[in-house]
Amino acid sequence: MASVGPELLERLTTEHAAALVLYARQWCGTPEDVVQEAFLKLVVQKRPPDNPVPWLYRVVRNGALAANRAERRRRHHETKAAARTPVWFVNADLAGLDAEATTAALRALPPEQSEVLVARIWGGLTYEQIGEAVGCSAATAYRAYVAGLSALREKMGVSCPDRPTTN
Amino acid sequence: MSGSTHDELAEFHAALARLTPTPDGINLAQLMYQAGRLSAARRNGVWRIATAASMMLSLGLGSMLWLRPLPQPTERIVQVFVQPPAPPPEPTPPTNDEPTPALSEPDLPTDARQAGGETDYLRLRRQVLAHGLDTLPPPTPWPAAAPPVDTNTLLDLPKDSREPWIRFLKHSLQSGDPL
Repeated sequence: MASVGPELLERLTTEHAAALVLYARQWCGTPEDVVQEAFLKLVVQKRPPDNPVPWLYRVVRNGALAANRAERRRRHHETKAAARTPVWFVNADLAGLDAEATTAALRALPPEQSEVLVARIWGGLTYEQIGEAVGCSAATAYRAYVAGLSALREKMGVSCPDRPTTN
Repeated sequence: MSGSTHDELAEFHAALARLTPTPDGINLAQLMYQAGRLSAARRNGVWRIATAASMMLSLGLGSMLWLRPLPQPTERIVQVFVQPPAPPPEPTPPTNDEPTPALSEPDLPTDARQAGGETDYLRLRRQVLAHGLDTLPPPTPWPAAAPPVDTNTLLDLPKDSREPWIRFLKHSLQSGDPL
């Protein structure tokens, strides 16, 4: 199989870069660097993966965890970094949700639930792909998704979100 | 999980999905540039490794050739056994039942043939080669010449012939003039 060409790289970047950055934000403060490194690792693969999207999520996850460890060594007070965490979403008005509240609720979730939610909701991965990226079975990923979504809704105090109004 | 809860979660999922993550902040042009540079570096890496390997090999072989010790000359003792010259054999009288093939050769001197066959001839030759011509025995004198024969008898001519051509022939033989 040939290496990843520029067309495929551009398509993957356009379609998945934002979700991957959001995925990496759960662990580290430099998600863009982690995602860019993941794309570059994909380029230099002699044999590209059959499913590049779960592969990218797995590489981003590992890179973000490594960056998180490096950041922890660099900064003794993690609370300062958490205080500077930017809002993860835009156009919250269109969704009828508060962006800051959603970001805070996501950050408050256990990592094994939040990463499944991000990969499922904003990454569009199937449970099999999530299991491949995270390293668990599809059933485990589904259970983490349901538990995380319920916990998130409870934290945000949303019983049933309002449907967006379209003009 | 009940159906209503499932529906509520599905609606909540849909509402969350409408949230757009903040822009990724990834510069696509920079990413493509770095990807191309990495790809080119990977291709050049093979040639770099091959060049480095061949250079190391050539340096190693060259140093081996340069530092190789020169071949040392080897001394060997060669023993040559020289047999002392054999004493001259006693001349044995030729016997009739011995084969004498060498005597039939035309270039053998008569003295050798007469002196006892091939063995004497070889001994004589060895002495000449070793000590020179002075060791040759004095030549055997030729047998006495026959008394002169009359011309008429030699030519088988009649004695009292008076033919002119016979007289001319006799005169020419006696005087040595050409015919």
